[in-house]
Amino acid sequence: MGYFTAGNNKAMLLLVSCVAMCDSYFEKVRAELYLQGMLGHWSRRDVWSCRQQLAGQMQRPVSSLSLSPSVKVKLAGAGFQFTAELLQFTPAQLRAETALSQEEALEVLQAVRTGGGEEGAGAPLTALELLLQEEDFQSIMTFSSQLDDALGGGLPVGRMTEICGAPGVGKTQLCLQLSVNVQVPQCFGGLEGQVIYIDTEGSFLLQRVVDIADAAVRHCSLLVEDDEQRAAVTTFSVETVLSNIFLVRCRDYVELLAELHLLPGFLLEHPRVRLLVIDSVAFPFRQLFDELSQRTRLLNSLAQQLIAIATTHHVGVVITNQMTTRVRGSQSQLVPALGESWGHASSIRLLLHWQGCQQLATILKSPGHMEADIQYQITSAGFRDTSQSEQPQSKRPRTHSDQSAATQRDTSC
Amino acid sequence: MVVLKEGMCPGLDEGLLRDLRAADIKTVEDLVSSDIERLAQQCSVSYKALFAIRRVLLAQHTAFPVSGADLYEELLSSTAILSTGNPSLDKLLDSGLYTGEITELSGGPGSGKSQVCFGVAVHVSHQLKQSVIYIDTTGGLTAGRLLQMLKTETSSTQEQTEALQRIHVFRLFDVFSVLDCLYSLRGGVLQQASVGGGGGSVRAVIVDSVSAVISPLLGGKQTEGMSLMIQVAGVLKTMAKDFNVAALVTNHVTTSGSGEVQPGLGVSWSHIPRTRILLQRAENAAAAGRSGLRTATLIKSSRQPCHIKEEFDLRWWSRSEGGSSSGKRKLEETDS
Amino acid sequence: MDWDQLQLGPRITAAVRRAELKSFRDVLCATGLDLQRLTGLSHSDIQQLLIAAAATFRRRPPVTALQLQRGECRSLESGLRLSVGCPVLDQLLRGGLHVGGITELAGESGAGKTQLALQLCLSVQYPAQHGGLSSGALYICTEDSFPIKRLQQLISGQSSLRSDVPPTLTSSLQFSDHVYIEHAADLDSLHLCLSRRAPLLLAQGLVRLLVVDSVAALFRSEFQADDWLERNKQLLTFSSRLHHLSWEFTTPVLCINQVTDVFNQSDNSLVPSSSSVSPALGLAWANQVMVRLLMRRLQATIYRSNESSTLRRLEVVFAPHLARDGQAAAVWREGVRGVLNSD
Repeated sequence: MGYFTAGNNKAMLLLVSCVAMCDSYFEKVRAELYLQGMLGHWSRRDVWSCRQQLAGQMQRPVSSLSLSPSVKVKLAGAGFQFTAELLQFTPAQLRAETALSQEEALEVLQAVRTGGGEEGAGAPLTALELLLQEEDFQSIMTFSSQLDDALGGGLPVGRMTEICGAPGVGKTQLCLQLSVNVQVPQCFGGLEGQVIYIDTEGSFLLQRVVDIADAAVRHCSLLVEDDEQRAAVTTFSVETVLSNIFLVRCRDYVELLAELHLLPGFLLEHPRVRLLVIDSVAFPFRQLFDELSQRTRLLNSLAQQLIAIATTHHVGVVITNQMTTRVRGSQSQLVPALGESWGHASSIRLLLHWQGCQQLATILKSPGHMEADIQYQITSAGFRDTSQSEQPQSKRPRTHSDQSAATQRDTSC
Repeated sequence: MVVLKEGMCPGLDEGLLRDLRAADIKTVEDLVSSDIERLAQQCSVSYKALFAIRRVLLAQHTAFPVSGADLYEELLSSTAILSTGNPSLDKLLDSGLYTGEITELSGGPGSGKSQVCFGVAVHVSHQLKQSVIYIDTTGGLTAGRLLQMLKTETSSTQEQTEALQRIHVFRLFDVFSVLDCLYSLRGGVLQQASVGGGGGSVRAVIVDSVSAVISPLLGGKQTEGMSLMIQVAGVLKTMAKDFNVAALVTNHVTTSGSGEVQPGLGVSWSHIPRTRILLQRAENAAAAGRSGLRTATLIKSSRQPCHIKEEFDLRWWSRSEGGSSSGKRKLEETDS
Repeated sequence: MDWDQLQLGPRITAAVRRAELKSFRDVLCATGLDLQRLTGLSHSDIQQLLIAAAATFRRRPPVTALQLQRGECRSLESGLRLSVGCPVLDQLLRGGLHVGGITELAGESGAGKTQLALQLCLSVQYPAQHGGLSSGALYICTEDSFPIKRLQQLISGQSSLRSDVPPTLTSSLQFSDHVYIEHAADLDSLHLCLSRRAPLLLAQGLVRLLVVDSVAALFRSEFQADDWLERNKQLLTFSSRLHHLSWEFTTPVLCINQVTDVFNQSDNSLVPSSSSVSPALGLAWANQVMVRLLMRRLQATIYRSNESSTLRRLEVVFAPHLARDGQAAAVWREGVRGVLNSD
């Protein structure tokens, strides 16, 4: 360590090993003072930095623990400031010292032991382990090969993706498409997962889901090449697709918040869920909010909740957001709604918009990919590439942009 | 405030402790600030014994004064400057991230904060062969991107693997687990991590983003959030100092009434980082279409004049890449 | 507040009672830290409390789309559509108006918006097998007075428009008795109508179609260009009320809107640039609409034995379940009918 470069390494080693044998903070300080006397030739600074290190190891303020404020007040009232002072106590002793109840005393000691302990934060992953993990998780394909390529295979599982766009540009269509695609059998390069679809706008229309599911099922059955795929296709029917979509309708933001508290339980019961869709977050949160700071706070905690769900349950989280006009001086600009800080919530942000007669998907931000513009179209079969035939023909299902079913909409332009 | 305990120093036995408690003396602070003469009478102990106890306690619990010369010497021997790997940013930061300090990057969504963090992590672990702790609170860390960046630095798989192993990732999504993690890092895991991670001591701690865990607690009637913010700041600072690591944190931005962009988390936080940088999309780039061009503005620094601007390109870290992304390669493998 | 229904331990219930928490809503909107401070409970207790409170807001556990398709969850997907009264137009709309959510019908004056709205007011009164909802309609006028004469004319033409329905049924329906008309000249009376009278009529089952003709008039006239913030707020209040009514009573809501010319051609990321007009009230309103229909007057005129009509086109601008498409239509004496190309 930097402090001990001044020399005297031998003495330092002695001190540190002495100190390591003592198990309480007080004993360490005593050992330190003892050594200070013994090694009289130490400068004050050496002792000081040694002491700093000792303090650094053990002194965690009680107030930084995840305890209720009233408990913290009681602890502080009894003179406890650092967690180290609490380590030696039994619950009964602690109750005698403070005004805490039995439950509170137990809770405090629990928090001190796990929080202050070395396992407190969980073992870190190295980036290498993370890389292997990422390669294990597949992405959910969008059925637009260009968008899949730009995103490295589709929308990632275990992360949060936000889809922004003006009304009618295809946000819901992409969500529905993803809900079907996440169920594609593994032998076709899919995830064979289930999906939870939280609908706040009332735009989850069964008619449309059946359209998209039907197109996807037919598409897969056209691609069958071997026995495994043949077997998979028999179970991949519109009916099974529908049975794997769990729909929740939330009418206001409180219902949405409530649902998110209940989701972890649901996800434990349904481990095959690989996608969570919220269409849209903006709709309930843009209604009737007088206090903007309250909204921002709720949204911030919502975002952390979603990220935690995405990571711990290995679920792709896809949320949609509306656009709003921001007036800056004389010029107005279209920006995603819900404010600036919400923009940090998702790791990937897609913007769907019109450019002339073309529909474009723009990657606004993504930690792993470059920004890009990709053309797409909404056909009766769902979200697809625009049918320029320049794309490479390969055997992978996603690059077949389902030409047969591409009865194009909006041929007027 | 430290509670008085039996055996804390010679002479402080059970009986005396009970007497002191009766006199409403519970902590060291109570004892040293009390009137000893009266206390001696109250507890029927000798004045001399109490005085001795007080002296020992004082010696144990006072701060050690350090001379400026000592500090300077220590500074010279211990401070290191870690290059970010990007010349423009290094110029702005007066040659890089200083150990023992907190540097902050702020910027709007998609302004490249995470990309800079990735770049720093890769540069420190590969070029400087030191370990990096990366605390990811937004779920934004993509190892694939780290690998992509590494590939532009070296083509040796061995070196890439080693570099990746030197980056230790914590994924934590609430402030308490972040605090738990930081305290346990300060409490010795830091050294262990460097031993276990194939050599190189930890030189940088990156928290991306600090605002994601703190901002849900701010606002409303609560005072708790503020105190937790200061706790996070405190432990980051002491950790940076004690272990000589560079701390790099990211922050979001808010727009003030006059339309000016400023870092989030308010005034109290603004005193915490020693150096603050604001990242923005380059204005002329917006017109020219999408690009990796960003401007970085120095808004707080103790070494350089403020408000210097530098332009840099996010694609710096993936230069000479030639369009072949690791993502694609990955997919072909999983598909075949 | 009845905290006992949460089925928590007596300790937690007592602590919650002591704290100044008024409703489950407050519990969910406060942060965990706030709750700990107010109740003095531990972190894990608070988690229990939150989950219990959340459960009271859950109307039903997640249902699968298959259950919806089998009709096991009528309140989410009733399978009902409100027929427009013309098979050609119904085909464009895949069966008619959706019973949940706001459908917007925009168009320039004289495009036939009100004609279609009136026709829906009659169509809703048929039983379900003829595309209706066997109930009346509430028609809120904000612009002109209600075109009562035209309604009478349409009623008398019902037998020829709905040739698919047995004439005995058509003649047995008292059409004009089931169209409730409300005039709202300003925003206050509109809000009053939507929050008092409309829920009453809907709850009694007298009405199962809500028509607002038109939304643009009030919001465009009452606000100047510079207080758009206030306007947006009022617009959101209005639309959330409509949404609430629509979901609560599974009722179709039709809003008639005016159109504006698109000035700003550079700002074309909102709509495909082929259209030269766009519905009024901007993005704030567009975000609230589920299905947006546009009616245009075309140049051509179409003739029928002794009648003529300007050709119109009903277009789907966006809808979650409909393709961007259009259908030619004409307004005849008995109502609006789609015009097939072969005609």
